[in-house]
Amino acid sequence: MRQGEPNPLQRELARVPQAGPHPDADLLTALAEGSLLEREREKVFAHLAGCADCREVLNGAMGAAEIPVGELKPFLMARPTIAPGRRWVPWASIAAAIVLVSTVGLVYRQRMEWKGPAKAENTEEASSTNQPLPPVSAEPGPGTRASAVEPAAKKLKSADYSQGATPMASAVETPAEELKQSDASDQSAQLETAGAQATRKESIPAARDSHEASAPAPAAARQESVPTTQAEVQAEAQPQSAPAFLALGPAFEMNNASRRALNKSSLAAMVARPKWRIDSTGAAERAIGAGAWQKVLPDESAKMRVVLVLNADVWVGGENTHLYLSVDNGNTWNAITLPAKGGSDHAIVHISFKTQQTGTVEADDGTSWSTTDGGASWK
Amino acid sequence: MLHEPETSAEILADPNLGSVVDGAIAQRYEESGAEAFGISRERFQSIAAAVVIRYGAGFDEPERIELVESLRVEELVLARACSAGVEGAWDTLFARFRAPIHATALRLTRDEASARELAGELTADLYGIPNREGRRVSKLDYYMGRGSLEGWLRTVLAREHIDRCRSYKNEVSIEEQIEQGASFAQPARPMTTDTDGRVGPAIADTLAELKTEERFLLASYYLDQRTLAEIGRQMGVHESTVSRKLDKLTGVLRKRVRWRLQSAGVAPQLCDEILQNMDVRTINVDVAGNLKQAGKSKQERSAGPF
Repeated sequence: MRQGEPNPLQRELARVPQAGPHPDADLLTALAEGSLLEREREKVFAHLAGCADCREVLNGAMGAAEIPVGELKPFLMARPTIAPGRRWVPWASIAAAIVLVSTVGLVYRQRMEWKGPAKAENTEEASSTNQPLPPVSAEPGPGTRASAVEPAAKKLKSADYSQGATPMASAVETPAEELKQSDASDQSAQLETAGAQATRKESIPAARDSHEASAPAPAAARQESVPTTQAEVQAEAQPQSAPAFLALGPAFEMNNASRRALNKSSLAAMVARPKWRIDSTGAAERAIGAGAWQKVLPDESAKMRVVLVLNADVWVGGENTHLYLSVDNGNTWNAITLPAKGGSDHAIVHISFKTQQTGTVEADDGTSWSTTDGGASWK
Repeated sequence: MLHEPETSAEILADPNLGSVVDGAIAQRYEESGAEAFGISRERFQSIAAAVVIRYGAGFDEPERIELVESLRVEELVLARACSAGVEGAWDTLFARFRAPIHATALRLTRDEASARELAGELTADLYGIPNREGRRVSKLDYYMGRGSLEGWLRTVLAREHIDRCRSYKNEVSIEEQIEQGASFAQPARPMTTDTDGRVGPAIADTLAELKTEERFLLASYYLDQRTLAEIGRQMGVHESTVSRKLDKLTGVLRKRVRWRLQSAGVAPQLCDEILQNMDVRTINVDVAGNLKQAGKSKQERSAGPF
């Protein structure tokens, strides 16, 4: 065969007839995410085997996220013409801006209080020092989603957008490059991350039930149940300082650069969502908004390989068949014991869930386990 | 509370799916978060029933229940709330999917300006354009909750991108083809004459015996020259699984083709020679050439509009 001449196999594959009409975007997506029924899979694969165009679409849609989050430029997608029912938006924006300024003032006031009045004058220098927050509980505060601040902040300052964890049922391979940290990230809340040891023996359904019982909010609100912003955490920790905002006085004698930096970091924190990654050492890490990456499994020695985020459920898998589940956005963790299949040194490299109940875990040697009850039992 | 915000995705024909399926749908109302967007139980029932009718027409009851259980109800409700004009739903949608849309557009186009244009076009489609009756028709009406909303948006974006590329080449868009319910022919590929007339039929017959998934796997790897990781992402499995499947598959393929050729009277030595042409190593040589070619095309594309 001459060089460049099609291989006989390629030639025959190109002649495979195309079966049926093109599958719609839903079916292609569901195929890649493993949520098609068996007979649907057959049909879609039969079509794909003979349709180069649909294979190209599928490949384009399911390509790896090659662009690090840190390189994402601010993307202002202007909405089309405002509908008649949306004319109240400017008023809401003004109201939100007032709340926003109040919050920024509150944050600044608290910072000044921690640093002491003597250092308040040199705010540039003071802002670069690490001042850890007092330990606070990570329990979600009531109405964290109900505030009008968050959507307004997004509209007013979309340049501060940072990509949050997406609730898709596929493994999230968060890029290693971190977002540039602002000075406020030094004060990121010491979120309560219960170690795996304390909770390993707990049953998964019980944990899930208790979590759902404690947070019976609608699904959209549940995703935000972690105290995602520093402002919220501070507000919970020191509610008594709120009235002091109106009489700040010298506390606001800061230069414009510091004010802008503070304003930016506060806004970034307001729109914060948990981000996940496996770092180069194999540790599972979470970051809230512009905060620093924090290990979520501090006592774990095995290298983690994959993290999956599905709404508030977070699955982490790695070497030595280690598998963990958090049903509350990573605040508490349960170690999952998978049934032995030819040894215990499997490295879990793939986790996929059709729903919160039904999913599959796969090791690098092809061993797989599936569950239909959210991880309580496996086969 | 939404006042019957009808969308084009609504199918009002025979919503009677049986009490068991209706019950399965009703059970998913709470977790869907529909109430937060003012969507009543009845409306949710109607939305989910439309999906079951669309995809599960030939399904038996257990399959329909499985279909209902696999639905991404939370995102389905979000999409319907957006197309019905619920402000909070739009906020949630943009907050969650703006960055992924842009990242996908950038990955597809490899150019910031084109990415903005592509993503902006999708955003406009999502928001919808008023039809003759003055009702806004959103592309989100077509999301059925079978896969994740983010995955669906990426797929729509990829299709849009390919259609744009096609329009530059004066070709027919996939979208139009789907709307017309027609398929279009495979683009012609340069074919060479079969040196031995028995090889082609032997391979074709063997391919016809394979499962559809296996044919897809072979086409993706040998024809489209996709990497194992790319195929893994498309099939929802790890690349090591793809590698193992391919190894097994090529073994089976060679064995069956050899058997067919020998049955057709081809000498064993000639069989070996023919099968060598099917060898992965030969294809790998072509892959290297294709990669170089792809690199050149990419550079040319980045210089031009695509």
